Amino acid sequence: MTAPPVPILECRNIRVSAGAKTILDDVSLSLRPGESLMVIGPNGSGKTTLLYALLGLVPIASGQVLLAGKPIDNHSRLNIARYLSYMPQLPERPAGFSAFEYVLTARYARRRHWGGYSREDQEAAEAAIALTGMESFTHRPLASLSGGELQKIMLAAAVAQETPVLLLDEPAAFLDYRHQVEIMTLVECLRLERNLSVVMVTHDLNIPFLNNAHLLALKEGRTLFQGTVSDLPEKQNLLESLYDTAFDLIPAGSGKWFIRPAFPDIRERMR
Amino acid sequence: MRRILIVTAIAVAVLVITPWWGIEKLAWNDIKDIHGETAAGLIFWHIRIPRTLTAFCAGSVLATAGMAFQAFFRNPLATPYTLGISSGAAVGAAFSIRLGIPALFVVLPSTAVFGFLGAITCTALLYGLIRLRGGFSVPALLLTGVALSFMLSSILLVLQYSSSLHDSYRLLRWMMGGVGMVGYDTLVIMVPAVAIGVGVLGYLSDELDLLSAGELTAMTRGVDVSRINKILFFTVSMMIGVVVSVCGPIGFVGIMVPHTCRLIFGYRHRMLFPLVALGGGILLTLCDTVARTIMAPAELPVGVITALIGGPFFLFLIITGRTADRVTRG
Repeated sequence: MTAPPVPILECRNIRVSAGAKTILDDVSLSLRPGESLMVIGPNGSGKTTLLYALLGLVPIASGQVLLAGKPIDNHSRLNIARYLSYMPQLPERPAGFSAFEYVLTARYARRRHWGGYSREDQEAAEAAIALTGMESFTHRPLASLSGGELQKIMLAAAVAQETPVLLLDEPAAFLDYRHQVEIMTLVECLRLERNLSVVMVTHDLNIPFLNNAHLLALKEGRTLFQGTVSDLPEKQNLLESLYDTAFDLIPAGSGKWFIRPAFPDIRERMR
Repeated sequence: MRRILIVTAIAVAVLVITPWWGIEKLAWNDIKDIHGETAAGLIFWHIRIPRTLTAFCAGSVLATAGMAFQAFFRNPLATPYTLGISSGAAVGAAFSIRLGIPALFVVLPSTAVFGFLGAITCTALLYGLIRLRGGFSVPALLLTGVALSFMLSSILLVLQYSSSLHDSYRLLRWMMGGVGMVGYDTLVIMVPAVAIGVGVLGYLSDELDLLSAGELTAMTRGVDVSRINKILFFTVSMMIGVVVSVCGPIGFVGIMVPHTCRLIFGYRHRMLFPLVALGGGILLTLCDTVARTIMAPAELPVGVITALIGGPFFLFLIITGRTADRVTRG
């Protein structure tokens, strides 16, 4: 019998505050290679701050974040970038760079220090762009890309960084259905093929529930529940209190359920 | 690589040809007199050559410092000049002239040291303001620079009014920006400042790429942003302090050259920085040649020429919306 793999990224009872306001309180999680975690919760519940805390970008008031078994503060930024890549929700859109030049900057933590980006780095950037199916955009300026195209280039950059962990902040937000499907499928493929760990913030509840994914539900900075939700009807109340809104469950066959917010009957209300 | 060779060739040509231009016509035989025993030899070797080299070095510094600021503030209009850092250096340098502070450690001219102190104080102040607000919009950033420049200009005026007539004229002439009053002694400090400054900025090309992509992006890709910021501030302040203490504040080189180079050579700093350094040198050397010949026998300060060309260029950037109106994060 082999021992279970050690968590590559872990946080224990962390609290993050900004001034007098507590943004995250007593949140814990642990992520082993190949595992994925979906972070859900209403707007302003601290999901993005959790990713920042995992990346060591915000000071932690109490508790600790461990990366490869070592406190995150003991890692240099360069070393963190060799473990964690991050895809922001609303990326800063750098003027002037082509898609390729932008993806190449993701190789910063892997480059040879004096020689700059090597042929190997360029090939890795090209391969990452090809993986996202964006080859024809390689030399297009970033400024000319649509929202969906830009998201894919951001994902390509995260892939090019060649880290064991991907942190994705609503990677499919604002995208049309085709781009949503493509991005989600690609992330899942990467996880399975390369044994990557994934932390993903999402507002789409069907993706985690249909896949029995690990969940972390945040409300007002606290953990409302954690783990897999296999029996959705039992958890309906919990979800309704998480989002403060009613949900409809629609049978999806083989004991699974689709979930969608329940819209009030407007005609009823106007009467 | 070929582009760098071509631009280097142009730079060498400019450095070789421009000293021949001037009020005094020179013949080939005149310049054989290296020790300056004849008037013509003296003019060529002890006035025009150091002046040309100073203009070239100053141009390189102004252009590369502008390029670094544009990456750092993510704004093509940001330069040490537009953000008031040059004025800070000017006040520092003017202070040391006014107070008559002698050279430090024998070799370091006090104007350069105080220029550096003025520049770094201003940079720290500006950066502090940005952090305090948690980010500045582009107009707010530029207006802050304008406000800083106004304040510092007033301090300069006070220094000037309280000086003797002789010092006052010297300060005024120097504040207009020029490379007229130089000899080899100024080059002794200029050349190392250029070499170190351009070297450091060149070494940080990949970091400048990432900073121009955004501070958050830079950090998650592995850049130790606060450390790089400190190095950038220190280096740029050193470069600007030295150049302003010698030439006074010269504007617009830091906008025109990086912008033109980006249009031609792209945005990657590894390719960009040698071309910007050479381009800045070429532009300021040519401007200085115009400044000292166009109204001969009178001489214009070179700052007047760069402002006359650069002002419209600056307006063009604003009007065509090439300023990429976005929020900068501190």
